[in-house]
Amino acid sequence: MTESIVGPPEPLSPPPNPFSRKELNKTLAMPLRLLEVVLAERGRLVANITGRRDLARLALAMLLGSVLFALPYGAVLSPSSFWDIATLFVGSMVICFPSLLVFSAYLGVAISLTQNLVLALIITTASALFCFGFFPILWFLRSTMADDGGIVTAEHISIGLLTVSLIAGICQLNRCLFVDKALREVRSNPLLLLFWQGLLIFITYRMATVLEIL
Amino acid sequence: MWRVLISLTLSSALYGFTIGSGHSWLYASRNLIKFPLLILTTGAICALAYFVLARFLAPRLSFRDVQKLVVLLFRDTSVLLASLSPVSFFLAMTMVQPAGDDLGEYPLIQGINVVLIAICGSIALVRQAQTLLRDHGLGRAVSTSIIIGWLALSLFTGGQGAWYMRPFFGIASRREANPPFFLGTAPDFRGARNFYEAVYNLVEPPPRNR
Repeated sequence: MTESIVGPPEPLSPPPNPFSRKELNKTLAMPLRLLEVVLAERGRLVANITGRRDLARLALAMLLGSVLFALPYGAVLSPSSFWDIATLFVGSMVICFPSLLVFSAYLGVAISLTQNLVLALIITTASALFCFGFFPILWFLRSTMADDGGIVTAEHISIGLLTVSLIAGICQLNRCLFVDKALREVRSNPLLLLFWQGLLIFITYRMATVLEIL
Repeated sequence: MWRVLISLTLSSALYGFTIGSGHSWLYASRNLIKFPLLILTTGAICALAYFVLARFLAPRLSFRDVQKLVVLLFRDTSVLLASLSPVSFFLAMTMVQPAGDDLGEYPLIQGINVVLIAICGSIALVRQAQTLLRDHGLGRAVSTSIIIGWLALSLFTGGQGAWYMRPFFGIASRREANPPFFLGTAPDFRGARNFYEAVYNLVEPPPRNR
């Protein structure tokens, strides 16, 4: 019997399973799997956060990924300070993280430190992954553009690519928070989250100025 | 996949040949290599970014799926352009050639080719979006977003690639004895030294030197 093209209506899908300890260990050994964990399988990531499953391991993998995936872009941008982009994203998040924690507690959002940490790391990891995708493009542009000034230079383009990466990271967090229903308790104060994201953007901008990326 | 790559290369080489023929046989023959090189370089440089974007928007697509879809997108565009090669060749052969400061029909022919590329690219884009919709069960909005994202990445990178590898068309009245294969970062007539400056100069033309 041949399968119908349209087929019967799909049954309601069960809630996704969280990532197991074994899978997270694999991710630690092979950080490229973060593409699945953070970008592709958002539902499972959210299941880990809501169920408080292996959050420390997950946070460690994400922190590692945030640093590792930003390094190639940093190396292309400035080989002598290849850690700058990792510092930009992770450093800004570290500076802003205590405020998220304290404000959440103060406003009575029932969320633990590690849950908050994983949520914050979604931005840095997704941004770093996008930077990883962009580093061949930046390399190509730097190789084919004059490096002695001009109206539009590879550095200007790099700022655009970094901005896109940061926006993608913030979008990914908001998709987790606002598109999926599971994180209802976390988003009980959406204003706080929006304020914190605004603060993070501002601090990232300042950090970029300090690191002379801008 | 090899067949797809071969047809992409041959089709784009054919179209490249016709657009170069408006200048000289030298440009035409060089475009046999340069045009496929431009398309393949763009695809290779953007491969990782295409995949990250696909992971972001459509988790079901594997790395292989993404690369296959992108290569098919480029292949379709190239084949469509190749089918327009006789048109492009005819126009190149019959255009009013530039003479001195008068550019003749060069801007018209260049504009027509840009329109042809845009039309072929758009048709291939719509078709691949339909393929995504049908074969991978992605929603219309997701399919469109992915395809537009890939297109934006391709234009962003391919624009600079095309700039670096120029001239493809060339102004026939300026037949240098030994023109470089790639003009690279050499400034154009408005002083732009990369694709983005050239676009900027279109929006905000620089003051003319008297």
